[in-house]
Amino acid sequence: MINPILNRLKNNSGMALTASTMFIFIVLSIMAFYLARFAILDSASAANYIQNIRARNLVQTGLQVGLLKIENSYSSLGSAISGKLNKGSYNVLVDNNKDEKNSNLKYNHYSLLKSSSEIGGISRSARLIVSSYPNAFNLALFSKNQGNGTFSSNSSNSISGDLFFNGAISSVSMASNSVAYSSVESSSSPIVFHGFPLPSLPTLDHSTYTTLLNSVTGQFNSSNSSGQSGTSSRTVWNPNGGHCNVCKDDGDSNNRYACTNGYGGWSNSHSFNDFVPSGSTVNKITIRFKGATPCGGTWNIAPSVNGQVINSESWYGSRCSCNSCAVKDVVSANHTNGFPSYKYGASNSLTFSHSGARTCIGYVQVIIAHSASSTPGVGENETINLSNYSNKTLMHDGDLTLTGCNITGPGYVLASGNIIISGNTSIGGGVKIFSKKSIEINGSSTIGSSLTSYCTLYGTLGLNIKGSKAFGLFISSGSLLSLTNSTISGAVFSEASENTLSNITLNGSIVTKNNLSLTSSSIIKNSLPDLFGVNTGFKPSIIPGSYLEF
Amino acid sequence: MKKTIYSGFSFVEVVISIAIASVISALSISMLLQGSDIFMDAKNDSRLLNESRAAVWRISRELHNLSSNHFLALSNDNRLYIKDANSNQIDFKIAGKMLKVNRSGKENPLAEFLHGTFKNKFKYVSTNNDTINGSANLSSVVASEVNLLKIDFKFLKDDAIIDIETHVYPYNFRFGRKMSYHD
Repeated sequence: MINPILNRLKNNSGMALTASTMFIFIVLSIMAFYLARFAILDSASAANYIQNIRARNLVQTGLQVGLLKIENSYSSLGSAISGKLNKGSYNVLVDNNKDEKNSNLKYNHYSLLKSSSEIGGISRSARLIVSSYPNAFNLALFSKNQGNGTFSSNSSNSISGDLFFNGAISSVSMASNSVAYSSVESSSSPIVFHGFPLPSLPTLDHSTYTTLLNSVTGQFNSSNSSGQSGTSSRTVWNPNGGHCNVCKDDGDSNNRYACTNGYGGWSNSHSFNDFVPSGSTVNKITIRFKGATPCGGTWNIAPSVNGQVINSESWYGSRCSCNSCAVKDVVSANHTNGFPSYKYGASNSLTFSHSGARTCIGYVQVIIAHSASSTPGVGENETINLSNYSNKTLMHDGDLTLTGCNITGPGYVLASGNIIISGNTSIGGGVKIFSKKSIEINGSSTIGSSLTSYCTLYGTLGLNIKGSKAFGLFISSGSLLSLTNSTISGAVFSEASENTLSNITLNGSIVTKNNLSLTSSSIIKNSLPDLFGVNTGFKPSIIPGSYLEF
Repeated sequence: MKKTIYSGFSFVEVVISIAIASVISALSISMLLQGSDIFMDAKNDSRLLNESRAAVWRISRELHNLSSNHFLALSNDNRLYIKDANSNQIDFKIAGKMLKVNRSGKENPLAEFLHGTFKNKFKYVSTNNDTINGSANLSSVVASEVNLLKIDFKFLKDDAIIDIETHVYPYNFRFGRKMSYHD
């Protein structure tokens, strides 16, 4: 029985030994393979964990890079920035419209700062929400209350969105889900103590505006002329009915006068109202005298209008003759841009001096040569396209009045004096209006048309908007902010000591340095104009709690 | 009749060969088993380490996204409740040896080797570096004072123990305090 096995073994010499050795080798190899596999997986797991941490650190580095960039220049991240660090790469960019889920951002002035990184095949992304405005503009109403006043808002007002008042609030009417924060720790419902840190008044870099205002030179001359060209005259003094053909001797043979009614009646001061056609420019003034001079000499006469000498003329009278009254014209130089001292629409003063002791006057006429022209600094019922101006800037060194105009931007309207915009004036988006004094908007004017087509107003001494509609950023750095009977959409910033809102609907946010007075007004927290890429003097801010890894 | 001559291994040789092979195999298997035990121990340690790392990493990552300490109002020693900037709710809970995470209603185990007898805890540290009592749910007022989270966990598997005690700083907090008007 055993012989066949032995025979087979003898016929396959070494087979058993080889087979058993191979078997052991294969088993060992398989086990080694698994051991190696486990070791590799374990090692990969550890490496993956480390790469995750490195990728996350790098994505945060990307955000830091982005924050530094937008702090210096909010527009510098218009295109993505990439970098390499620690054997990985990051990419950071700003999206003005959508968040990381491609949903619309909550407010127009929010932007998404998105950073993504990649190290060793591990990718991470993180984001922050950035506002174009400082933190205070996240409130519907913020008041630093520098003068330590007390805030009061009765039921005629409505505030939708949180407010912060740095001081005591005596009464306030808030919409549901809106909180009235105060800096007073003992505040009681419905007023809520804000807690620390308190929000701060934003810092405005005024040089953004003052640099431009300090460069204002020249005059704005309307392209529309007004008034009439021609000559107008008026007799301003007629003491002797225009006659002076009777000689009068005062007993001194050397002093004989030619006068109608005696030799007296001399007066060298008279007044007359403006009589040139409205809108005309006074170019030349002639003073016409009819009269007689003391006999026997050359005398000088020098009439003045409002203190400004017209001219000085010699007036000769022959001795001892009863002359008919002579006519003498004293003519001013021609003033193309208008006779400087002439008062339009008002009373003017005419004075004249004569070197003679006595002069008989038949009459005095004021003859004015005028022209149709524009009044510097006044624009009426015209279309102004700022792209037609140098550097797209309309400048006027003085007060600027725009009535019934249609102004299209983008561009600047700068004045060293007050700016008054009235009479249904319409101003398109992208127009920046800066005044070295005050800005007044009235008469159903329209400033901007939407939060994406808005205007920026900066009044160094004050800002007054009444009976109008405005979209944009409104800054008063002077003593007054007055908003009445208007609808305003956007951001209002005031350093004024007096802030008044009456019968106002404000969609956006208002930030004031001092207390403010509200009457029959509605403030609704809403989107503000997006300032991305625009230097307004404000620094952007990060919305707290908006950091998210995804 | 011709006598057949057998060449090759004799029976004795074969038996001896098998015996030697058996001895070698026995030794090898013994060594392999020993090596395997060592490997499995190391693997367990590694797994425990990875599990603890993953748990801490996940907690710290989610805590980075905590949008406001106000949302810690539902947290306590055994529970960490987080709401991120997209209003996603993430709920970490310690249940015996398990650490579970519930994100948007879906619960998954994050770790299953917490030390059974050690008191694993989430600890809350105020801005003054005081530890806040979390035996009950934090009130809204108390939660608003939380500045740091401290994770105090011990992991145990077989003989391996990993003790983790670390602070986590919510990254969002560096950008200021989130208020109701930061929507």
